[in-house]
This record gives sequence, C-alpha cells and structure tokens, in this order.
Amino acid sequence: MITLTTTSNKYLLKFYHKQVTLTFCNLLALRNTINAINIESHFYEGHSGVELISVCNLKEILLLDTLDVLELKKIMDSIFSPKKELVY
Amino acid sequence: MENLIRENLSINIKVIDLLNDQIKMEAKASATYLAMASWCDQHGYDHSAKFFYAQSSEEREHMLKIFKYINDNGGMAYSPTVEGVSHDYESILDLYKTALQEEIKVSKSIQNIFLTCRKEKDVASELFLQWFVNEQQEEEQKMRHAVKIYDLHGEDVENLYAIDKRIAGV
Repeated sequence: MITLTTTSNKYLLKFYHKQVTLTFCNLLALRNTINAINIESHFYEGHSGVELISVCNLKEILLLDTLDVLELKKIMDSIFSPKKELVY
Repeated sequence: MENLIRENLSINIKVIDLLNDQIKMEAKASATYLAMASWCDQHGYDHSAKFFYAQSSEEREHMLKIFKYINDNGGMAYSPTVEGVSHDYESILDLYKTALQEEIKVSKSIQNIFLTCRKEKDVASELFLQWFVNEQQEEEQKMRHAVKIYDLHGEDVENLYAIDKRIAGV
C-alpha cells in the first residue's frame, strides 16, 4: 500500500511499513525518477522487475517492484494533473 | 494537494517537462556546433570555425536561460548529458545544411512548447518563450543565408575559402 498525503507544506509518502517526509523539491525529484523508469523493460530482456531508488537526497532508499512503480507513476500523475475547471 | 503544489510551483508541470527536454536539445546543439567548429578549424575554414564557436556558446546561453527559469519558478532543472555528436561532414556545405536542420528542429520544439503553454494556460511561460521564438527565427535565417552562399558558389576549393571570409558577416 502506497499513499501520499500532505502535512504543512511537506509531503508524507507511506510506502508499506516505511514513512518518508518529502519537501517539494524531493517530490519533484521523486517524480522525475519514477517517470524515468521504463516500465516496458520490466517485461523483457530478463529484467528482475525490481528498481532501487533513492529519495530525499540519498537519505532514504526504496525497493520497488513492477506494481509499486506503476502505482507511484499513477500517484505522481494524479497529484500533478490539475483538475479540470468547469466551464459554464 | 493541488493548492499546495500551486504554492510551490509557478509554472505548469507539463511545461517544465518540455523545458527540461529543451535543455537537452540546446545542450546537444551547443555540442554539435562545437564539433562543427572543430571540423572547420581542421579544414582551414577559420571564419566558419569562429562563427560556430560563437554559435556554440550562444546555444549554451539559451540552455542556461531555460535552466534558470525552471529553477526560479519552483521547478527542478536537470543537467543534461549529451551523446551522439557527429564530427564527420562531407563538405562545408553539408556542415551548414546539417546546422540548418538542427536549427529547424530546435524551432519546432520551441513552438511546440509555446503551444503547450497556451493549451495549459501557462501565460508566464508563454511570454518567456516569446523571446526564444524570435531568436530561433534569427538563427534559422543565419544558417539559411550561409547555406545559400555556399550553395551558389559551387565546390571549387579556392572559391570555398574565399566564401569563408564572407561568413564573418553573416
């Protein structure tokens, strides 16, 4: 279970048993790292299906499997996509 | 969450991604022009070499301008890596034609970001990019002019070196 919530100008990433507090900069860096992962490569060329990423300027390490990567990609996409304004 | 992101970020995230891609493109252009300057130096086209050294540093300035813009507005600019820069050209005309194609590619990319800004209603970035749209037009004109000069005067070697002097005025 992965969730991302906010606490007074900080972002709280709950990654299973682990909790990581991110600044906005850390969040942008995480978004970039996650988006840079080519998920298709997980299914070819004998890929282990595991990604090791560092967050918070190398202070924390996360071990992600394919589903975790997909979920994080979805989370990043949803929080950075502004909701459509209603046009009357 | 959306409000908090807006508080930290003045420009649209899609635009930031495209601007980061543009940084890579400007860095590649800068490195390519440096390779071209080297080719010109080696083949005795001194004026063209000087021209491409200047072009290379101009592209780097463009890159830094975008870099700073992203960081100043709460985003994160990424330092680019440059790969696959060619050092081989058939002739000076081939070199200038390649440079023109490079400029056209950059212009198209800038226009694409400009239109994305419009679509995403990112007015600040649209205004920021207006300078680049004009600049690219100038750059294209410069290269097109150089291609025309070399194209018109054929491939006589003596002639080519005489034309090289005219490049200083481009």
